[in-house]
Amino acid sequence: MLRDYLRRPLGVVAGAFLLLVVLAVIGAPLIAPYDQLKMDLGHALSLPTRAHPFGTDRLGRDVLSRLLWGGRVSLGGLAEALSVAFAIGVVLGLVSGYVGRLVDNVISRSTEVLMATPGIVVLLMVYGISNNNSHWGMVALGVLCSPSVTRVTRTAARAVREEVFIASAEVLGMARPLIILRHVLPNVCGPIIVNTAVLGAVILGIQGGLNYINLGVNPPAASWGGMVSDAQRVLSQQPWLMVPSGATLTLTIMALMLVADGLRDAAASNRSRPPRSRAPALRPAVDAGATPAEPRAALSVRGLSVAIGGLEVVRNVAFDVGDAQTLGIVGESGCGKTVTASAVLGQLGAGFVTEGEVMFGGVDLNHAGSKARAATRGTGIAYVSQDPMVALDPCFTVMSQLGELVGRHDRLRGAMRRERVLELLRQVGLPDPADTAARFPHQLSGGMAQRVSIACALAGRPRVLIADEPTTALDVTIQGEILDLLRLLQKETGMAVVLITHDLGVVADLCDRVAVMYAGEIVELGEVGGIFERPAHPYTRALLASNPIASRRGAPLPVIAGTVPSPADWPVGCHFAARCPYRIAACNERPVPLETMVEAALHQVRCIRAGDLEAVTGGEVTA
Amino acid sequence: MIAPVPLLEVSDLTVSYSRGFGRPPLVAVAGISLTLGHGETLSIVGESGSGKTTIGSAILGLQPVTSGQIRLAGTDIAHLGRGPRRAFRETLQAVFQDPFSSLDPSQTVGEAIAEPLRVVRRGLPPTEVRHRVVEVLRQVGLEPAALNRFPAEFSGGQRQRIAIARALVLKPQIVVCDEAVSALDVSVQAQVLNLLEQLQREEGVSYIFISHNMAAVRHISHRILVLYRGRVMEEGPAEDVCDRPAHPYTRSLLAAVPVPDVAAQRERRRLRALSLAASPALPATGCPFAPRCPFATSACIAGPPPLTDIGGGRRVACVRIGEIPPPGGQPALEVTR
Amino acid sequence: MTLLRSLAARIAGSLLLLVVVPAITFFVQGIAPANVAKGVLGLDATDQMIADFNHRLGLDQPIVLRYLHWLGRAVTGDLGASYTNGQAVQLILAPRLGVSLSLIIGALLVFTIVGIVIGVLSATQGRLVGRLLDVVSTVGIAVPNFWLAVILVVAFAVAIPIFPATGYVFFSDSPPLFFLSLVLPVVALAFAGITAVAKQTRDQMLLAIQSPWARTLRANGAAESSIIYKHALRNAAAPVITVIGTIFVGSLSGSVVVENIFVLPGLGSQSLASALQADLPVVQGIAVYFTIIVVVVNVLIDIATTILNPRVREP
Repeated sequence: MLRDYLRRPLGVVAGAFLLLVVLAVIGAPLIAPYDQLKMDLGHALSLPTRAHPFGTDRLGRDVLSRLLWGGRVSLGGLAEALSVAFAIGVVLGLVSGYVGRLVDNVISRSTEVLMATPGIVVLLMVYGISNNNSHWGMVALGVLCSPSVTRVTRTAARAVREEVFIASAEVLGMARPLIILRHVLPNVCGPIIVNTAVLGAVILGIQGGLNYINLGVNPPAASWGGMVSDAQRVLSQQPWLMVPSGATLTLTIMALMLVADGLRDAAASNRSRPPRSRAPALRPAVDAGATPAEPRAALSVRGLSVAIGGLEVVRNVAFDVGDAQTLGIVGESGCGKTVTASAVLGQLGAGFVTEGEVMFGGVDLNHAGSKARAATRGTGIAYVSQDPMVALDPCFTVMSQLGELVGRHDRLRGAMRRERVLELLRQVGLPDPADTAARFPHQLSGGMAQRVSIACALAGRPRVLIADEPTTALDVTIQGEILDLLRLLQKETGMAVVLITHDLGVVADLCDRVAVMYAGEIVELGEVGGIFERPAHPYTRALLASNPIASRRGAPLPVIAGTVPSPADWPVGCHFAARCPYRIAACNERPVPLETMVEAALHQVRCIRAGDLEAVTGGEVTA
Repeated sequence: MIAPVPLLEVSDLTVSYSRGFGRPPLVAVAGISLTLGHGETLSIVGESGSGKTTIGSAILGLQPVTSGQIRLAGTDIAHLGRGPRRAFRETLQAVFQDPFSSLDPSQTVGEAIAEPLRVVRRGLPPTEVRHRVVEVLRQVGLEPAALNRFPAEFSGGQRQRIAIARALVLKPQIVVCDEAVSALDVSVQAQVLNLLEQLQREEGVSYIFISHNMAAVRHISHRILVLYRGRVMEEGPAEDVCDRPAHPYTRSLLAAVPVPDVAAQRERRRLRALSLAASPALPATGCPFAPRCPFATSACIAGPPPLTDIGGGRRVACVRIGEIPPPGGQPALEVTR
Repeated sequence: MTLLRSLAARIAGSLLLLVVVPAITFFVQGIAPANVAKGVLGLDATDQMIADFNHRLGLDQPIVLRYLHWLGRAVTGDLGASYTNGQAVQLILAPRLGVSLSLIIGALLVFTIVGIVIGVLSATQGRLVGRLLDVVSTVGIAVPNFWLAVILVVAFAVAIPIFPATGYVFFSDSPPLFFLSLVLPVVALAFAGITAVAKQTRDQMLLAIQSPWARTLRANGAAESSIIYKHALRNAAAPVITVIGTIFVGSLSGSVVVENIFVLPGLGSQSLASALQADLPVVQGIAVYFTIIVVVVNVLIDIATTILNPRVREP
């Protein structure tokens, strides 16, 4: 994480500044040019000079020295308060986050009470009864600020609690304190440290304010807040004095916040980092035998390539879907099928570059403006996503969301809109449309939510429906129902369906044609029956063979050695060659084009040996 | 392959959760019994809400048991506290579903695999620990170079292998695999299934394989237990249950699993149309599957159907099992090529 | 669970604070009674004078008993009497409540409205504006409110005399002057809050705009303006309002300093004066007032989040 942090220039500068200040303050006895109390009335209220780099105050005392000495008070107090807050907060947060509900409730309620306490009043009381003792004050401030640490720690600990490796440790019979120490604490450090930095900034500000009104300091001893107060008193005579005192506080607080930001970003970037390509992206060769876009098809994609950060992740995808037809795009994780769907929908974020044609209704959506795109959304091309529980806005009822879409597409209002919503809900097979419409998304079961999602997609009467793993998150019996529903809707409306999935069984159930993707490319494309009976591409064969359905019990499953190459590691030639049992030298030499197999006109394969293999193995699916 | 004295014997296990004031408790597992022998794989299958994960958690001691017994090598561990349970750590281990959450990201692979040894066999000298760790790492097909790397540097399939290594380092007799391959791609899943089988041949370890993936279950199990809403619907040898399912729920479950064979799918669709849509309402008495069962009669909701023996080591919880058409003409899970 | 029932539960929880928090502050001050006497009577007070003083004011009784006495009277509205001049605490504080409220609520309105507007704009206007806001945010939160107050006075009350530098004008006396006298104090108090609210609003809006449900709505034809101003805003509302609550409680502390600088006769400036004199009944009375304000705001926030976020309604 440190390495990631050091990559952010702002964070590095802020961190360096902070370090400088801390060192300077610690070393005040050594480096301060003057004693903080040494008066020089002859040179009072002077602007910066060589003798006094930050000027002098009303009693002629050197401002720089007072800043350094005052820093010990200010930063020392900060350290006291922060340590107290940290100690209380981390311990309570860990216990509250990990141990059972009763303890958690007690600690959470206490934390809430503490947060609601008007801290300033308590602080005033503490200063009042302790004779303005700064240590008491800082300890009290630490206690009052501990709820923030407790909450962050608790939230992080709760999240870690749900992780499977904690269950694994419990199965091992590890004692609870040991689990907290060894497994929870290292994994909650990140958010805690970030929060501590922010808290430090807040405490410094509060303490400054307290010092400003002369609490916690005993003049003539210097403190940063106190120096602002001194400066204010002589404001009309020497306005400059406001600057060093205010700037020191502001810059230090700012530095703490920037350090916190840097740490937060560094921790986040740890998880997701797009791979940097080593070689420049190759211009994809146009496939031999590539036909121009099919005008009769509902959706026709040609030469679709997607790159992010200069790295190609999808290469040269081409397919057609006709009306009332279903095309399956199948592949394993990392093959690029979801990126392909997002590219067709125009939903890729900034940083993605999409090339190729996406022909719909005679318009190339990829190169048309955003208005043309917007016109197709819902009415031309609609979308159903994978996880129904997050596909619906949690804050609005089904009636409201579906109604909004209906209102937009059909321009209906009031009772007519309501009727259409109920009609759509009936169409997707919900037994009690009125009841479902009144619910919020979190009150629906998985199957119901997916049906509602489909209803939302149907609201615009689309010509093409793109369904991204619509059944993966559902139980297998519900899955069958949703597939039946999609088939029924297709028959009723004549819409084309593009189904993204990893499950070959789903493809066999619902799809007419299928495109098999591997490492960003389509490796085989054709009618489902033909491909499943006589798979031409070695990857397709291996995929079908490794499905345990087809196995002989007791014998090991045929496996594909090796792993899928990530986009940064795509070879020049066939992407599958390294794992292919049939590879020859020619496979690695140049990109392999997608070619139509001789026998079946609509069956395409990206393999230079497809013809030989057919003859050699007769289409038998063996390892 | 069932040894005369079962390694694990669960009797009449019930697990229920309270749901707060005035609401009846949620019964996740209702009176389930099962046995597991040496070197055997028993699969527990079901959909969400079937209770299969709860049974796994109860056996592992992660979930308190309301009533019933879990006899491990003769001792009832169902109601043991954390302390007494420690004696069974070398007998009973687990591999869980999510490969991205099953390993502590702050620990190296070597530390993760060594941890069971350090926690359970405290006195073991470091050289022996390392020796055993390398040994088990090789067994799961990874190089010793992996020891000093962090889980984030490995793929999902590799992390599952590491999790399996960690489960096996103590040479347990039973490993509970809770959806251990469900989050993996098909090709990676095949590798891990092969590994599990190989380890069973080499070490004689038994598995409780909890899954909703019928294809994987069919391949790897010796016996299968089918659960629905916390009760056993059917139990028997894997081939029989998959190829000739008896209980109506098992039939509908198998019919719902899509297979990559167009003709077979068409046939399954026809059967899907026969069974009724799922309804969330649970009947107060009787068979939990009755609201969805195409063969249900009034006899089915009279009382919970007992688990009856139908021969060949098979038991079915259906009062009408004698009357409904025999499991002959059903499309089996087998795909003919 | 219905809206009303879950609201009632949360409100009940908040009301508990009214009892618990004053108890805490009472016990805090009970720690060192000897210092109280010294503070009032002077450092050279003899032990006999201290003992008399403590006995007269009942400070030599066990603290739990004193608390119960205090609580008994407080419930009827009698908050005791000042140690310094014997005046009833209620009489001292009641006139000051309005002043503090005008400052605090003014600041609340300013940082809420301005913060949310800036946050929404920054989330929807593109990356440059977003980065700009990040910088301004960090500076804005870092500038100490007391320093800023002085600068504001110098700039807008002295150099360009638009606003009064100090002093408070009651609304009943002169509405326009009332507002004028509040401008600088409210800005000083609200400044840091504006940037914090803006930042949180922006973060939450971006989260919502990029969420799976927003993608689905967009893909199925919902208008972008609806996604931003109806859906994202609604989803962002609950977390933003929660942050506003936290900032508000913090601004109570800030009000002490701000009232001091601008010489506003409110609870904050009184609390400082009384604390320095160890006049604890008055400080305790202010604690009660502040707690009531916090509880009222907490309840309003609870109501708002429950209405805005349907998932919260379930237990």
